[in-house]
Amino acid sequence: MSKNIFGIEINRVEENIPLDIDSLCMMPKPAKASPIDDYYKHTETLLQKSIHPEIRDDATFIRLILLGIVSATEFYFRSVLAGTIQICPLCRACASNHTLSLGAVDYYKMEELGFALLQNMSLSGYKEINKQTNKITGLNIKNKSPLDAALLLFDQVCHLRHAAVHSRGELNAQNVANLGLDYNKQRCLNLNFIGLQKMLAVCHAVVRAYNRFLFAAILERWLDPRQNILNGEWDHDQVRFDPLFILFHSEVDSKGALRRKGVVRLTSHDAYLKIQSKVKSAI
Amino acid sequence: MSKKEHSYMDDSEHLANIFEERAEFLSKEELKSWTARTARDELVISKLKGPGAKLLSGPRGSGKSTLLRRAYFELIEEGGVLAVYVNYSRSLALEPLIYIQANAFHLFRQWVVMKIIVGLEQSFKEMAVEATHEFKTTAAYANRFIHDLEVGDTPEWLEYPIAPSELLSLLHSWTKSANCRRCVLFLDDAAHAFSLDQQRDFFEILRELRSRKVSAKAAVYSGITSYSPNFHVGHEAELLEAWYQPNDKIFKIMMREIVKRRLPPELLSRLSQELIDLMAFASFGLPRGFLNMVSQVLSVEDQKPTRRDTLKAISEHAESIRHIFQALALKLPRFKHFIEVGRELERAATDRIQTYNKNKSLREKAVIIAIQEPIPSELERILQFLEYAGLLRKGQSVSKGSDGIYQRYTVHYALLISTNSLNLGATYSLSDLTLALSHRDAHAFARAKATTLLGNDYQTRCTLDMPPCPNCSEPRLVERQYFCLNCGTELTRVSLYKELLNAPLENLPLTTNKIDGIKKYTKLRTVQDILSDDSQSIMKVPYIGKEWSKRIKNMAEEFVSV
Repeated sequence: MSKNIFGIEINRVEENIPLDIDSLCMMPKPAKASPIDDYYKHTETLLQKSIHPEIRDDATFIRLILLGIVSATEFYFRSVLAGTIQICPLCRACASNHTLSLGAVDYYKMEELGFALLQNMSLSGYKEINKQTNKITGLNIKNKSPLDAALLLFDQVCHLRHAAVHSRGELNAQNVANLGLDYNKQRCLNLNFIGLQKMLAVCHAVVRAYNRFLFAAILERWLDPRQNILNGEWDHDQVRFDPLFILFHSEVDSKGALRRKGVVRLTSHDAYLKIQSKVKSAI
Repeated sequence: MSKKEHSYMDDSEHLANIFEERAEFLSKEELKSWTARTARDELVISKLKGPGAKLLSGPRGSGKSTLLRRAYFELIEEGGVLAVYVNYSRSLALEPLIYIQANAFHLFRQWVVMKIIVGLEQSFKEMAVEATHEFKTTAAYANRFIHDLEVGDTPEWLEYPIAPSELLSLLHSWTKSANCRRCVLFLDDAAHAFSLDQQRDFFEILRELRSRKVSAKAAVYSGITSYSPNFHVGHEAELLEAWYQPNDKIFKIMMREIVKRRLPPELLSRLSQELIDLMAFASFGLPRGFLNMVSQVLSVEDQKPTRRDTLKAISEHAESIRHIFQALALKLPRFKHFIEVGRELERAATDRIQTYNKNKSLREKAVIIAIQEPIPSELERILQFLEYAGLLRKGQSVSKGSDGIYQRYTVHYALLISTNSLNLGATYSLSDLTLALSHRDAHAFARAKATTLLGNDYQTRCTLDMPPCPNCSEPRLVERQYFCLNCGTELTRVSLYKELLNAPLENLPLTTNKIDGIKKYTKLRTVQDILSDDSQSIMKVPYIGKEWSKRIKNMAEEFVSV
């Protein structure tokens, strides 16, 4: 222990720690699946870790896994919103008014510029997701819709995550206010495995609701004949519909349902055929 | 067919209605002329018509709907108060939404609000009041919304949402436009016994629907009603009891009055006073059960019911109540094991009472089982289910000094009669039976411990029954579990309502002959088939005419509702 100017040894002295940042980073693996399937894969890995007996009864580890789950959910929103700029001309037009830093243009690949738009934005909360969705795509999430309800629940999970990350599980006054809890008593997180599962279920619900919403909303705009995006013929529309389908379709979710129908795989062409008549009648 | 029969048998619709047990299916005139009133009813109806929130409690068939509808029609007739009657028994039809839409609770709350608006539309018609254009538009939207929701055509969002607080303001303005002083809402079948979340949501809405000019009265079930955390019974609403005491002289007089009002002279003459009184006792204070038994004894054409016919009707009634209890295992599949233990409890209780009653005089017979406290939560749950089905009636607890405190439960008289728990011997007269049931000794009750009745291990048998993980067969730990604790596989949950709709006909309280007949002469196989049988193909079955067709449809409606 070293003494300070008052001659009192208050605690151990600090060291100089050289941090080799490069050794702590690596190239990210390119995503091979749609954002929703990537989210499922990541959260499944987290869930598998959390069911280990040493972890599932440990509140500290549970808090850390909650952090991972919300992070995966946030990453889903980033990926899918970034993806919309690539596949939808209307979203691209909407996002074109926003400024990018030159550094972001250098850092990200062309097809990842959507991430650059969102890089300083938080997507872990009701207001933020609403705001960024509108900013990037021009779309609004209707009040009291299924997605709105799912986002409100997700917002609550985000507040709990905030407490888990920033104050070792203790809720601050803002958390308490946003969660609608009584101000009269202070609280901290009391997470167990069952609670974690429930929060994962909330994240699954919001990802599913958002995915369905965005797919349908983008497609609905494309059906507007004034936009001149689709013409009802696969040869023409494939170039647009294919990437839309790939961005939003979940192989994970469709596996069980398709197996029961005796279908091996749903292709984008199969999906397009279901809406072709709607496209033709809209034009 | 004789000329005498022809006079009422011609009007088979009318005959079907005579024995219609459910008040909500009776017309205003039928309700007025066919239901009897007692001083107690007058008091309850007066409170229902008055200001302040009220909860009307009672098991199935205790007359809650009758009281609510009487109060409703009286207010309409008297004028000056805007009365609205709403029946929420279709709430279970909205249960599938929980599994397919995140905003299911928004939709449910909106459905509760819209049902009130549709009820108000009916009230304006009854009062011959011309509704405002604004109201008519809202009512048209409400009708469409309710229809779409109940047939499964679910809107993604609420086009014109109306919050409960907004509804309150609208009710104020509509009350004023109808030149009324205040508004009373009669909310029937509001307990939503099979969806706790819906129940809690409902009571939160109820809390909001009150002001100096608006008050709500809701019918709730004894035993199982889950209130919201902010809803304190007694403080938020006064609790009124609909259930008569079977020994109450008033109840006996009321039942005699009911048969006098409902039955044409040709049928009434076939019933003796003794039989009417016995069936009144056997109904255990529940008018619906009484009507059920009367219908049963009179079903044998042209004959005066015998002692045997009456005891058979009582026995069949006991069986139908047991069936209601057992059907809970279908409506609440996770509580299947609790229901099984409940059946054991029922048998053990009647056996215990029978043992107690051996060598007791007619005036000393017991009808009560007293269970030693403290009562564990599992047993408490079972007792609540039994009370909901009407098999037991909870009484006051009693202290037996050093022996402990006992919670008393009166067993349904039809069960006691059918199992000879009164221990009257092999050949007893009906008057002996009536005497034994009519005299109550406050100290006459059979005491028992839960473990004596059910065995030491009964709590281990009271486990929630939920399907295991489809991947690794690991059992579920809690009711609402989303992922397997062993392999992490996402667990699916199935809509209870859809399961009830797909249930086979055998789940309805029908005889084997009737079920075989339906299967032989029609393509109806499930409860849903019965409900959607608009072409009335069920009437092709021999011995199923208009009356039985209506009864079977009612059974199916009851099966899929609260």
